[in-house]
Amino acid sequence: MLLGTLEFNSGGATLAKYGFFNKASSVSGSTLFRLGKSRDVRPGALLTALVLAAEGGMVMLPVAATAAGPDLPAATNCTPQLLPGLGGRGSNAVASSSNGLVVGLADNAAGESVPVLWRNGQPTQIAIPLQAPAPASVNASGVVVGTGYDAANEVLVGWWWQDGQYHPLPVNPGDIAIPSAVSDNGVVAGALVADEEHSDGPGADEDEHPAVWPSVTTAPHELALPAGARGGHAFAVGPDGTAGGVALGDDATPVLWAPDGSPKALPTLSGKGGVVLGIDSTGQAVGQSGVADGTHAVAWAATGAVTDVGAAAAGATSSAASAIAGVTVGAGSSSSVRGSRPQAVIWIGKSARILPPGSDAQFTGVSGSATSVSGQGANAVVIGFSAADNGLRRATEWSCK
Amino acid sequence: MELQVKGQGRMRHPVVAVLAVLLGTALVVGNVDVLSRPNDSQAAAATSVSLGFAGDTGGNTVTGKVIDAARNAGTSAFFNLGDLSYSQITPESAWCSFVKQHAGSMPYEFITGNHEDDGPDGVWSNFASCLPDQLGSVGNYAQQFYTDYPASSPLVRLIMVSPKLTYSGSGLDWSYKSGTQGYKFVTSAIDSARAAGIPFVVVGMHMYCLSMVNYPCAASPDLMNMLVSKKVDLYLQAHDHAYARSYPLALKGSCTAIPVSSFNPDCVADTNANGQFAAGTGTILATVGSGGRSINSESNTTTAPYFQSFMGSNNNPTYGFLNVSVTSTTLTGSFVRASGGTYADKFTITRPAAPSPTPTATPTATATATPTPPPTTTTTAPPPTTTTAPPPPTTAVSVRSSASGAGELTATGSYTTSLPAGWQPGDTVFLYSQVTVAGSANTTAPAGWTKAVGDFTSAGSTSAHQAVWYRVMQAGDTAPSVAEPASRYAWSTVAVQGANTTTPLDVTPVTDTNSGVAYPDVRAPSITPVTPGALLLTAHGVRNATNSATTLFSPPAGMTELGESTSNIASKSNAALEVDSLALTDTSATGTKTATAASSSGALINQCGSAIVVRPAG
Repeated sequence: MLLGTLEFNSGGATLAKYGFFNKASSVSGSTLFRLGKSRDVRPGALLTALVLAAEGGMVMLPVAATAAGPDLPAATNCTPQLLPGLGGRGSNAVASSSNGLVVGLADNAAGESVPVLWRNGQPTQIAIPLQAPAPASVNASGVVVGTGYDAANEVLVGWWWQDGQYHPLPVNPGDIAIPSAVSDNGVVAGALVADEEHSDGPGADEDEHPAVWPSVTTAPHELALPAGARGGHAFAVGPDGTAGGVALGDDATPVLWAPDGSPKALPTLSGKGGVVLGIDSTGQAVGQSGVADGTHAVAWAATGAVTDVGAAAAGATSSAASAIAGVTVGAGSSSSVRGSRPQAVIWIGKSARILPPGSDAQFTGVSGSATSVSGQGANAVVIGFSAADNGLRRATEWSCK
Repeated sequence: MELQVKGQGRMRHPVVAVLAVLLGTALVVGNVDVLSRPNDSQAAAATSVSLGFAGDTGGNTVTGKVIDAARNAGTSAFFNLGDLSYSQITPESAWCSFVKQHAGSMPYEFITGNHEDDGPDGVWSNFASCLPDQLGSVGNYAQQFYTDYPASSPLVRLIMVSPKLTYSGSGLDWSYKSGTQGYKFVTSAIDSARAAGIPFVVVGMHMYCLSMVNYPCAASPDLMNMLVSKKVDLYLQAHDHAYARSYPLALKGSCTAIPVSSFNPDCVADTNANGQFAAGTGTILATVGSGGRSINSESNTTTAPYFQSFMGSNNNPTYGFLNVSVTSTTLTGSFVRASGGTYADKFTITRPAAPSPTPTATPTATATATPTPPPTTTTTAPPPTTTTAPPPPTTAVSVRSSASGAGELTATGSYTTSLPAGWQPGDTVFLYSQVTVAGSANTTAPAGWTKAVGDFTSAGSTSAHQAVWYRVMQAGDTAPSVAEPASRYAWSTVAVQGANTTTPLDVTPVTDTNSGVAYPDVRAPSITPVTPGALLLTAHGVRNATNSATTLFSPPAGMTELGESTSNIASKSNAALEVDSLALTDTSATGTKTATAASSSGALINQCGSAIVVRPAG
């Protein structure tokens, strides 16, 4: 099966060598990601990287990948580390901030899944007075947003948390807040869904509508939809307040909403849908676009032009979740890699490599997914999860030099 | 029952319940006949059935597309998992008309959702009046019932229930907690299905319990854990406007109940990466709320490890339905796209062959006094379509004989085939050519032969070619040679007698590049004949991408294998071909036909398939 041209780094060059990570530059949400402030990220970094690669030993070899061909190479310059948990078996890192804060979930000794904040790799439980609280994003100020269930009132609640204090996100009467991402500037992107009568039990089965909160204490603004759309969801927010997500009508249209709320429909690879899941500090959006066999990771330039990043992943399905200059992370699967189990993937330009699953004495990772990337000094730090053969997940941090 | 307006303002309508009681009284008597006799509308001895499921449909263009997709896929019957119109089309009768326009002759059944149990978007009994049961269900249709399908020789029992819904005036406990009438109904229906030897049991409902949205169980934990403990094969739900399909779940080790707010790996019985599972391993749970209303996001965190595949607004948003194909030994679920993205999912549950089940048309579950919709005995809908038909009459178009072969051309040239043994002048012979080569192939028809299927390639590789030609044979004809470049090839010739010699092709043949089809499946597409009594020929070809590996096949369920061949060349990717036939009786869509490949090494194949309908003489 001809899957396109695969480029890979056959040399031992490090990312820092090419100036990718001068300073921290990324924040992202769970499946929704955006970069933090754009400080120190050089415009045109991708082009620079490619030029430097050609000149400096980062050999980009075109390889005709086939289903029977070589495995997608591992990112040998990235080291996985399982993040410590809270005494239970599982955990999952869902988002990180531009300065390296990580949020996610971890099982405690009682087997309960609770929200957790990792600072410098050390976990602290986030106390949220709701059932099944699930964080979605964190920013550099330590503001965490997420959702949880209010059993007394039988309603889902969107919340924010900072410095040990829990607060519900403001909503208008009759609405439920579903925050997905928070920027370093404190702008929250997500969705609103109509609350419903609860005599039949919990649940919200009405349309989601994209929304932004200018701040965690300000009432949300519902975002306008492109013509023909009936609902949608904002999954990402950029440093200037641009939001990204999807508008849903008969089809699924990837959308960027300008800071004034006006929507801009983005092109897709096949005309069959796409979703913006992250926005980097240069304004580049990343996410996925439908292709014949699934989705490919894609990037949309600030001009809106779409690039098929996932073609390099050598598999039918891939999706980008977060990016910093020239570096994108997400997940992909290939029939030639570990029995098609999904893997965390890092793209440098269009060259894809697997982020190897983490393992320790009690846990052997066989698959994974990357959800967020940030620049920490000379390294790119990717977070996500590794999964064992039995499905158990462990929060994982990959440090890429 | 309270009259309640809260939140978005769902309003209860006790008057409707009174009307339902009055209307239902007729059914209590009228349904006795329906429930106690075999359903004549179902095929007598089907060996496979294909059923569609989706909930949260609404009434918009996408709703219609989903129904159209099911009908076009040859689905025998469709089951709406609840939340029907969302008042996008009102009143209920108008929505039913909309559905019927799209469903055509495909039976369309439903279980009630929370939007029409007693409002606010219509009332279930009104929907049941205009969209009545067509399958001879046992119990209270639209509320709590089961259907054996096909009735005369059941392959699957579908049990549809209503946990946590509100039926004003019923006086019954719809919580499905252990010991309640609903819980007992389900346990009885499962146990009696097993006792009757019905190969598979599927349970469906609207409200979810374990899901990928950040809500607690909205249905009944007791019910969910009972279904898992009894190893129900497939557990369907909706309410979550997305699609998510779990690994087989089981109660074992530390897993004494399925937790819905955390993940216990002991509750997962198998994590086969290709979705191939043995029956009895556990219960596969699928949320299918993708029927047209909207799509919401799925949370890929707390409970996500239970699920092998999901679709939502944050992952390839795609409207569609779950197609469940059942034979006596396999249950295969496939998510079929109707609109939006390109999401696909597939899983298969396989069990060893078992003795034939016995008919079970007589009700075995506890009757309830629940109001029921008007009698269904007035239904005049056509019978559901099945993929296997009674033997054709002796004068029908049929296969006389076939031949197969394979090999390699080490340089550009021609390979020579054999004609089927005993062919007669006037027979129509079909020549199938499967070629593995980069670049073009199958470009030139053998002299005197007519193209039936032009060369096309697999979605997985442009090196996997397939083409078909045919010829109405004349005395003195010799075996055709096929010009090809240096390549590996496999071929079959099939002699058909009783075909229309003027127009052998009943309709334009169709091809399938097998996009998204995973090993070991090799799929031929559905095709819809225009002439009753025609003959279906399907071809299933592969390029085995593991060098030196050969490929054998098992035919699609219910079909007869005519030819099977594989090249066997060392250090090269080989070609392999399977051709099958099926006698058709009516003009229903055939549904897709999937052969099963077995590679001698590796599991990397590039598949393609085609379907031809041969028109009978006269």
